[in-house]
Amino acid sequence: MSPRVPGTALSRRAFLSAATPPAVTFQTSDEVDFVVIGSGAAGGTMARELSQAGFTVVVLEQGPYRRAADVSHDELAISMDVALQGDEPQTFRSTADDDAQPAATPFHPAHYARTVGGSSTHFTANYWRFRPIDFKERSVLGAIPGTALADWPISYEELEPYYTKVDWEVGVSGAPGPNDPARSRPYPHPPLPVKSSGVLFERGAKKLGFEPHIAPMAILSEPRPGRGACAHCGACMGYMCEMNAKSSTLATMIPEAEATGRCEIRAESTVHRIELNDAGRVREVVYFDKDGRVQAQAAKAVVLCANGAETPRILFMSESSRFPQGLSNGSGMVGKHLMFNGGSLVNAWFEEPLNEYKSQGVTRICTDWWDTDPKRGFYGGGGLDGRQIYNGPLLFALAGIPQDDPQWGLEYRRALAHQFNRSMQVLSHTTSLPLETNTVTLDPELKDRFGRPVLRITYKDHPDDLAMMRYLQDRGAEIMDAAGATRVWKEPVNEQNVGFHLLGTCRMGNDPATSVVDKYHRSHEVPNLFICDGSSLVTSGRGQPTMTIQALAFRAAEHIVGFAKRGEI
Amino acid sequence: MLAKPSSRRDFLRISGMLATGGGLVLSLSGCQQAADSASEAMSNGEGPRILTDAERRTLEAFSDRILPPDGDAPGATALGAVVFMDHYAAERTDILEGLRYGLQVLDEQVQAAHPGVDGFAALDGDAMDAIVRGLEQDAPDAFGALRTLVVFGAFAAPAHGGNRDKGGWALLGYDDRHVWQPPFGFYDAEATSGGDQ
Repeated sequence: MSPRVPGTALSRRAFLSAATPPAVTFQTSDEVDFVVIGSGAAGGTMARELSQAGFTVVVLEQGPYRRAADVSHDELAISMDVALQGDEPQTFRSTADDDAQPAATPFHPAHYARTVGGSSTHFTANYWRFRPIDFKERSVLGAIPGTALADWPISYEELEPYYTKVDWEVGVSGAPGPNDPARSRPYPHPPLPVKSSGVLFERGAKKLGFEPHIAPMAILSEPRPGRGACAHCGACMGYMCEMNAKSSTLATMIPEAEATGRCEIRAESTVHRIELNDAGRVREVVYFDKDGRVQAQAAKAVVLCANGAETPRILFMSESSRFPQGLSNGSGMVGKHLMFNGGSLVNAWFEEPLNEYKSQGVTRICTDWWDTDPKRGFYGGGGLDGRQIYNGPLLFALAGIPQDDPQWGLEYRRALAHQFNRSMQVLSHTTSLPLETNTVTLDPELKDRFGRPVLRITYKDHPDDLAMMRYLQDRGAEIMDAAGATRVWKEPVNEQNVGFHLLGTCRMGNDPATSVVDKYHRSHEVPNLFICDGSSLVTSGRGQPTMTIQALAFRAAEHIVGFAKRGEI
Repeated sequence: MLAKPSSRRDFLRISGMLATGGGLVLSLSGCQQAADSASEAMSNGEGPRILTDAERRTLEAFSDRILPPDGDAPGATALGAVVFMDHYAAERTDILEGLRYGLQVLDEQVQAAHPGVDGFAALDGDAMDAIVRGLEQDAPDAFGALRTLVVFGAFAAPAHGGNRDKGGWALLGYDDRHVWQPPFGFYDAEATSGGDQ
């Protein structure tokens, strides 16, 4: 365990915030230039770009402001107990014909971290770029009946400078792969050291004629100013990083935003509504402060970056006589086309120790299946990586032994002892088709502690999405066999009821009838409202969306700064 | 997480979910408070907190069927699994409910198979294993809840009250040093020393 500051979570926070006061504090009655809602990959980036451009910014973040001293390596707390995804329930149903029920699983259906820095603080940090095809699949493949597959209003080439900006501004470690799209600058940091899972994955894939390559990770392989290189502690996926080696916005963008003296990160501030003036322009954001009191922050413009579930929720809660279906929802597109990405899992045992509990998660990937291949008989694409998800004692003891083997008794004990360090997995990352029926809506009955309607998630994987997961799972099993595994088994592929990627619910587009924001992330209907996060994505890529979300945020920020400076907001 | 007792199947589903995005939740509140409370109580020499003597006896016997001693190496009970459960359940009503639900079903199975016997712990080893096997097959919710807590007690950080002297981690070969340098394992050592890379 990492050292802990004595006392409760609350007193730790008080202690920390007293030690490190915000760089600047605004009164709610002060009209700031921008309110940014959310501080994750998009919101943190937006705050830094807007404040560095000279504008005043208040960031409203519902989670607490955790810092290095708050980081815990306690597997029971981090991997098992789910208290700080928030106590607030969510409901789930597969289709609109089903009754939505509070989720029976520990993970919320729309799963994300509530903390300053958002889910960029606890993610695995895979930083894949999307490829040119991802932005124009509808044109290349044609329509797919029953889906809302569409082209993006921008191309890979338009986004490329911002992918490169992400690489260099936050710190990405890696090396080019054989099928990578064009990049204007090399990686800023060399690859992280390969793990045994990476060696075995690469060995098996090469034997089969595939082209495995080094994984691009938003984790530092060497120090940067104020940040350490990865210490290979192993408490990575799902954990915050006290080395600041994981390139979260907490470690990168947010300190730089605060250093401008123009940006206040207002933590534990839960947004309820965005209010308009008589002219139909945003005038203030109403939120509950940490003591549950209602506050309203006045602003000249708002950038909504709350993630693909909370962003549509806030728009729905902001309904008014002018926008009876929800703010900026004249098209009816808000909350639709939710995409989780797919994933499937192959387990493998080897003769010698891998010790996968050490270091960060992923060192080798293979993306040979990116494009849709008509020969497969279904839409979709994806990639694979080699890693061990059950890399902690609790996860492995609960889930690491094949289901057909004894789960208790001496044989179980000896299997744990022998296999804990001799196991790995191959994980797939696949497409989700955008469907009008997969949605984020407000639950009609259940309320949170502030009286806000909770999230209701409606989600059912398209058959092609499940087919792609199974297809790549089979490739993963072949790769492990080819690598010399002593035992290989697949975990069942079922319809998903939890999403870690929350995409597509306020899609960008040129046509106000079929999209929520334009190509600059400005609302089609409210001129001083911008929306930029996972909700902006038109298609799901092949998993690993955070790099693209952050690139979009850099690009959107550049345009928003231009609009503001020219008086065009 | 045991508000509704979780079965093996449910847990596997959860585990599968872990796969889909690598996202797990940050939590410094619930478990942290339980850990603070457990380590404080232990350092004050305080004993059990919420479970009855009979519940502890049953859980000790059950824990050693799930993770028995192996030669001189301690089983779950000697690792402090039941001490962990006592502290964890004392802090979390959902855990206490799941635990007591499991014990109730276990007791029913014991009484059905051995009417009048003084609880699970009074059975001999083979009879206990037969009961555990039946529980696993017929009442996976109850079995899953109890087994999960044994695993937590054997392998969670010692601050929570179990995993005494990190004996559970020693069993697995897990070292909580938290600073490492490559090579990490056999295959990367082999590859970087001129193997197949």
